Amino acid sequence: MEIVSSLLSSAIEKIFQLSGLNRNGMNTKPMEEKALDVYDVIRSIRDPEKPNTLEELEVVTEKCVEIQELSEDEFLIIIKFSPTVPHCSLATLIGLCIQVKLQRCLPFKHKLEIYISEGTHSTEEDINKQINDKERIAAAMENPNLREIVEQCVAEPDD
Amino acid sequence: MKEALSLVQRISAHPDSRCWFVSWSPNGALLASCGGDKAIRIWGREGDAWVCKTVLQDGHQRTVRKVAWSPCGNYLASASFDATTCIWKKKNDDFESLTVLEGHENEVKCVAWAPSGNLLATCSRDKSVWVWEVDEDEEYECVTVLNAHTQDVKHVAWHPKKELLASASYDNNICIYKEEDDDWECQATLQGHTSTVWSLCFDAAGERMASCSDDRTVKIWKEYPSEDGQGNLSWKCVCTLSGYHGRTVYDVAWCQLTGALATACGDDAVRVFKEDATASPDEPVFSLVAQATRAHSQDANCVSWNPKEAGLLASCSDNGEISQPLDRDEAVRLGVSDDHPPALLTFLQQLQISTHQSCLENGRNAPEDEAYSGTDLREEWCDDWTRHLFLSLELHLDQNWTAAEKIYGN
Repeated sequence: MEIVSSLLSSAIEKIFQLSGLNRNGMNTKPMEEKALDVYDVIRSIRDPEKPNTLEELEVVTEKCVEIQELSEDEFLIIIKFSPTVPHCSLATLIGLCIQVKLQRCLPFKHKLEIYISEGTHSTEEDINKQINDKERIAAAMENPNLREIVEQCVAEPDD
Repeated sequence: MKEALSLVQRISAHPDSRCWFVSWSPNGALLASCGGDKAIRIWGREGDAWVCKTVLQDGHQRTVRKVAWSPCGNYLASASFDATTCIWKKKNDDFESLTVLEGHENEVKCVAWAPSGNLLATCSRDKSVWVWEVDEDEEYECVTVLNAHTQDVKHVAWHPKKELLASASYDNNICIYKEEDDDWECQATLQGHTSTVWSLCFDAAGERMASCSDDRTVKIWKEYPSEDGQGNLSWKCVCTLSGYHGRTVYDVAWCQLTGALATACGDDAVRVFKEDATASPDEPVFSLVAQATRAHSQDANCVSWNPKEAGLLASCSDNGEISQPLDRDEAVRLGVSDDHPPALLTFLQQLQISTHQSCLENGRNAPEDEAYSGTDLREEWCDDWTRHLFLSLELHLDQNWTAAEKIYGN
């Protein structure tokens, strides 16, 4: 029976091949555009301490967003941001804001990795580990004070 | 021989939030799930479908991270980010909150019952592991606080046969605890993982332990008599499964019935590994026998084997769903993932049924599974009727192309 089911698998592949044109037509937005889409979401995040956006403070730049294709409809987004001050808690907070905003605003299926750019912080590894631990992020967002700060930072500017 | 994981049912258990954990009751009849919506749901089978029997809503103020059934099945413990552990008692089909265990400084990440039913372990981001004792009057008392880890403790699990506890932590280590002269202490620290250890579990005999980590590997540990001559046991890593998981492995579960190992991964997949019977016990070899690469549309957080029904596995995900893929050494499998358009799936299932029937009608037994790889079958055909089958299938497809296109085009 294995062969019969294998026949069916190859038949399915044939169907995919034949309709390949249809399928690819839907997702051909180039990676650079996708990277810009991602950047558009994070550039307007406000710094927790200063009245400027992350873009204005050069915490994030267009180049800091990298996209890799994981599968046909899913992408891996890698962001490397540079906090302005080597202050531990602020860097984690910024990472948290970026995570939250992207989770809410990106229209396509993605996996996210956020890192501090190498050499910009003394406890980089510790912070990177924390920002990428989804359980820690989820718990942090249930803390009302922290949540309030994050919400203010990611709120869309009213214009 | 490759087996397959086929989907039994997908349940939207915790809509609009994450489902963090699922756990089967000891008799295999109920499944408890918990999640970011602060609720616990109990699922039971009605006919062919799994339905929600109870919702435990007001036990916690924050995410419920894990739930655990007592060995007798009458109690349920839930661990929450609100720093408490709630004990629920089963009364017919409902559960009533019996008591709330407080003490941890922040999020409780796990709770586990010892096989004796008298002890309970909890662990938390406050880096500690607490052991609680329960007496006949259903009173819970903390008997020890263990501080062997330097960071957030993610998971605790009891040994199935002895009073031995293991914990997994964000500090990349696993600690083993034992009671020595009325005092609990950390007997061993197992290093090896290069990032957070998310979960661990023991095999049915308790001789081996599997752990999974953010470093994308699963490690198998085996216990050996220690060299120090004091009768203590030490654990060594005897096998590392790497290269299979694309992202963090969040959970690992060892089936007590079949010895199969299941994993839940951040790449949305659920995988099943089996041990090669021929390998030496000191150097076991595990091979991947089945995987559901799109088991969920988001990270898979947990896998749990049904303790009574071999091959029944439940998994849950960040998208709030529970799915029950079924892994069986059985007859025809479609090898079609379940996210193809439903109409196409039905079409193929019909085709499968009719080809199966024509095998029977021709009085032929299906050829035993030949090892075959690749999609170019023509070289592998062993007899004429197989070729005939394939050609008629092709013809059938060509004739029905427009129909298929219409289905697929959606």
